[in-house]
Amino acid sequence: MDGQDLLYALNQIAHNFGAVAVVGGALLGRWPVRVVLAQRRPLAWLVLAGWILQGVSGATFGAISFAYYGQFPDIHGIAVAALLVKMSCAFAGIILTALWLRFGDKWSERSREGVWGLLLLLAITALSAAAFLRWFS
Amino acid sequence: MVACHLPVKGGAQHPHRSLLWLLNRSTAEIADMRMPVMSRLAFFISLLFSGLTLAAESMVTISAPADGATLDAMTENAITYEVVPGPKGDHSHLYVDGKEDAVLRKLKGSYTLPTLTAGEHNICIKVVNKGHVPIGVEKCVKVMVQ
Repeated sequence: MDGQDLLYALNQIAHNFGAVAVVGGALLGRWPVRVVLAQRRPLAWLVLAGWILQGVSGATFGAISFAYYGQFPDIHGIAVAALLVKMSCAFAGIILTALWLRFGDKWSERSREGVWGLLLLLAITALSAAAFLRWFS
Repeated sequence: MVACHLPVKGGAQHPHRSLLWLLNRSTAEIADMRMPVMSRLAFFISLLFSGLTLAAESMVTISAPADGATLDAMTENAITYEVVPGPKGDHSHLYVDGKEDAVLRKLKGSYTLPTLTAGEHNICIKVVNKGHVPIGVEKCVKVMVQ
């Protein structure tokens, strides 16, 4: 068994579960049943953890490549654009979820709903961009 | 059936039990050897790893255009190649003058080159791993476009 492939696979597991957390958590927080604020906090922590996991494991893909070959993955064009979209989504997701956890109880119900909708949109966008990153690189 | 019984008790090595000899034996023959359980287990594990190292080495062949060839700028030019990804590689990338132009998922075939301006160009095919990182195996040709 190649150690490099094992590292990629283990990192991919983390990345996949991060994706499940950001999409599933946001979906559950936003739709179809409106959950009360107290029930949303654990979901928000799950989504925050998911976005952090996405960012860290995404960077780790590059780190594994660099460790073994001294260079990052060779991607171009649409793949680079898709990667930038994913990175932006992760960054926005972390900021938005952290803000919700810190100040969400002071916001109006409409704003809180809006943030969950935005988190869901970011998650779907990131997941879609992942498909382009996978097949255009 | 078993054509050769090996006196392997006590860890003694048969003089003919080389890798080549092993490769010529069927699995049934190997399994039927009179070997202690642990030796047999160790043997199969070593066979597995030896199989990994015996996998074909990475290689790129560009059959056309030839190195130093002259291409016509007004016609559609293609590169004909064959890639053996080997144990570390997965697929290959095509580069024109150091800039990645395409992902070559087919291991053997032909790819239409982008329009090349007049002058000298360097066309390379690099073997990359599943993470799209070049593993250091590549083939390049220099062409002159007129």
